[in-house]
Amino acid sequence: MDRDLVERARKGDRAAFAVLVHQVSDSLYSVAYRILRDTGLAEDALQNALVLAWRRLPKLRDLDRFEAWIHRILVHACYDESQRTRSWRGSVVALPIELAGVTDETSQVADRDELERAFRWLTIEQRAVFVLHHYLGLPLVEVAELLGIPAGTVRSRLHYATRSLRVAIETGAAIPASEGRLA
Amino acid sequence: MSDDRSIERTARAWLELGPTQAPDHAVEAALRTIDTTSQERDLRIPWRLPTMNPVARTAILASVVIVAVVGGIYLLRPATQSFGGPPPTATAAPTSTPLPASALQAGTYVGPTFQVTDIIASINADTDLTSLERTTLIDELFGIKDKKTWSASIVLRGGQYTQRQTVDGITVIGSAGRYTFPDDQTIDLVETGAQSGTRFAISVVGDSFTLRSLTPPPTALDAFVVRTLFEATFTLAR
Repeated sequence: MDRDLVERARKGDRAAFAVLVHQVSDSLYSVAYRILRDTGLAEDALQNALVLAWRRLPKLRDLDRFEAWIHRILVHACYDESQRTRSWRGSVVALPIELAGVTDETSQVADRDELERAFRWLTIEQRAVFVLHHYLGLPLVEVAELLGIPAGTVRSRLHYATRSLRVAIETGAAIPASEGRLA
Repeated sequence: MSDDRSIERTARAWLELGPTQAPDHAVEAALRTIDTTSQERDLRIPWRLPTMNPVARTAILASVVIVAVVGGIYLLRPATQSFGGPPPTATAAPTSTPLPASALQAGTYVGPTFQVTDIIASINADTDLTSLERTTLIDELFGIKDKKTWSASIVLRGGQYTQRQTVDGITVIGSAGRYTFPDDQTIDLVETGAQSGTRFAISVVGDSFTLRSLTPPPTALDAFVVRTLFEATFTLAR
C-alpha cells in the first residue's frame, strides 16, 4: 500500500482515496461476501466501510496500518449488516453461482452444501475470525490485532466455528454452535 | 472427513469459491457518496495521550496524585446526577445567583462520578452510533471497558484548560488547550493545535459551573463525546 497515497487521502485528497479504494475493494468485498454469504449484503457492507473509512481517515495514526485498519472497519460493517438482517439467516439461500459449473464428486458438492448451511449457523463474530484466518490467511495473532480482541477470544471463536462445521458435515445437518449462536 | 485439519482443508477450498472482485457499481456508488461526504476532523480534543514522552508521563502521574488527593475528597460525596439525564442547572441552587463567567476561580473542577454500566447502556442506546463507533467510545475514547466508575474534570488556569477523565480512580485520558470568555455566558475551548474550537454556554453559580454545547458536533460520535465530557455541572475541588 502506497503510504504517500494514504497520507494524501488523509488530508482530504479524494483522488488519492479513490486510488486506494480500487486497490483494496476486491479484497474487502471478497471478505464481506464470505462473512455474510450474500452478494447484496456484501455490497452494502463494502460501501458503508468505504464511506466510513473516508470519514475516519484523518484519525488514522499509523499510515502503514491502513490495510488492516480498513479491513477492521469492513468487519464491523459486516456486523452491522448482520444485525439489520437477522431474518436472512433462517431463509433458504442458493449456493454461489460458481458452484453450478463445478464438476466435483457428488460427495464434495454435498460437503459444500452442508458447509454453506452450517456456516450460516455460526455467529457473525465466529465467521469473521474463520474467514480472516482461513481465507485471508492471517495468523491468529494478526486476526486478534485486526479485530481488537484478545488472541484467546480469537482461538475460542475459531475452535467453536471449526467444531460446528465438523459436526454439521458429519451429521449432514446444520448444528448450532454451542458457544452462542446468533439470535 | 472427521478431523479438524480435514475440515479446515475442505472449508478453505469452499471459501475460495465465490466472487473475488468487487462489483464496479458498488465501488462507484461508494465513491459518489464520498464525493459529497466531508471527512471528520481529527478530534479537536484527543481525549487520550497515546505517545506520551517520559517527562510528560511523569508530569501527568504527578498531577494524577494531586487530583486523586484533592479531588478524591470531593468525589467521596455521592453524585446526584444520573448519566444520560439532563445536567442539573446551576440556577437550581436556591441561595445562589448566577455570576459572570469571568468570575470563575482558577482550579480543578470535578464533574459527577458515573457508573460505567450506565455510560455503556447510554452508548448502546444511542441509535445514531454505529457498532464501530460504540466500540471506539468504550475501548478507546473513554477507556471504560471492564471498568466500574468514570468521571471528568477540567482544570482552568490562566487561560489554559486541561480536560481529564478518571476511570476507577486513575486519570488516564486528557487533553489541553486555551479557553476564553467571549461574554459572561459563553466559553470557547480551543484544543492546542486545532484551527477552531467548541463554544459552550456557561452558567456559573458559586464554585460551580454548568456547560451546554453551542457548536453542533459534526458526527454522532462527537456529539456523544462532547455531551459526556462537558455537558455537566463541574464543582471546584478544595
